[in-house]
Amino acid sequence: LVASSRLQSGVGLVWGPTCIKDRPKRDRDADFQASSEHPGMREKFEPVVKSMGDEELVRQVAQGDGRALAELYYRYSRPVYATGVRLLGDAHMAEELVQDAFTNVWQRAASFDPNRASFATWLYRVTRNRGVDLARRRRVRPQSAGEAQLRAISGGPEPEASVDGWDVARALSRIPEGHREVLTLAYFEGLSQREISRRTGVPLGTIKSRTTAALKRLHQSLLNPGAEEVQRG
Amino acid sequence: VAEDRFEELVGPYLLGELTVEEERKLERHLEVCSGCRRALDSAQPTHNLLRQLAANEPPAELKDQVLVRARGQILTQPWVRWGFWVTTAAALLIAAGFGVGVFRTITGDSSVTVPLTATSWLPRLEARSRQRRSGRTFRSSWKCGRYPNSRTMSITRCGTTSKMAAESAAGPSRWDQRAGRL
Repeated sequence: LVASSRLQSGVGLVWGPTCIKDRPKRDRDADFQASSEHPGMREKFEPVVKSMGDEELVRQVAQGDGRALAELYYRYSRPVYATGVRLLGDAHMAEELVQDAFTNVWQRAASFDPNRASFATWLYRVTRNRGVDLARRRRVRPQSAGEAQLRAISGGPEPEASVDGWDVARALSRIPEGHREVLTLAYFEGLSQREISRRTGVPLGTIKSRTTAALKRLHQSLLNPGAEEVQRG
Repeated sequence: VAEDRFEELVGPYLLGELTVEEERKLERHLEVCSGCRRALDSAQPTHNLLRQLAANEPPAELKDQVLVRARGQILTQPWVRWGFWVTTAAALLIAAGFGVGVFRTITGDSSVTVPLTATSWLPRLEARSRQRRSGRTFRSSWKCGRYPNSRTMSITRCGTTSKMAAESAAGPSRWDQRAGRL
């Protein structure tokens, strides 16, 4: 809980000699509109949905909020899809798994207990179970679903050696919204720093420094994953 | 680029977003600044992880399919499912009540309740005879309260309601006699 509070409150943003200042909240809350040039881009969501934590979003989903489900999809569809490709060895079946998993989230959101596991852990279990069911139905021999198989990302002695897409997605969902925004626009939607500046209305210099600060913050979040989580696995 | 701003350029540098001039100056700075080199070494794996996660992007149209499918599953949510069955049961109940009402309106409720009076044959009689018409047949049932061993008699007889009532009021009839033998 302490670690989570620290991450959420923005303490620890100082990296090296330069302190990165967040832009005002009203700027960070600025909506952005989906562009036809970027079909994968997020729809225009209410700022309150974008700034919610995973667990709060699940509560909203349990009340029938489709925007909350869309936000969770935006945050976690990549690791679900990657897990599907690894488990099933087929892109089409992985897409079916993504549909199954998020439909399951929609149906079973009310049964999610944040005291037992994080949303990422819960969704991983759902994905794994649905993936095995799907493989059985399609008579596909599932690939090993062991943790080692799912965690083969980025070699080297760094902590990231044992990190997978699920950890990155979860860490991303826990960093401040302004940092998450600049990273998702740059890495997932492929916008240049100048395009991000135009999109968000934030000066280009601030976007550059914020990108660096966001990478640093994400690194810290990956080093301290789920300290508040009571139970995992 | 000011010396104290070099470190802020690490992120754009990894993304390939610096101008040629900025990149050249930063690389020259990295050769002499261990703090900025550590910052770059620290950011590099995180940058790689984000790149790898971005490479797992599912097809863009899948999102709409997921949301449409989820909304189509709304009836399977527990509270919605419970509400659905309650609504269905209520609707069936209303429909059944309406059907009975229509049936009774068409056929008419012909039941007549006639009080029976005590006679010398049945001095303690406190009973009512309920007669229901079904076509030309009357189904008459008697309930005799003061006789412990009495039971409901069911007698089928053809005739009119008024005629049967008149028989009951006229005195001991063969029906009364029959009841007295109970």
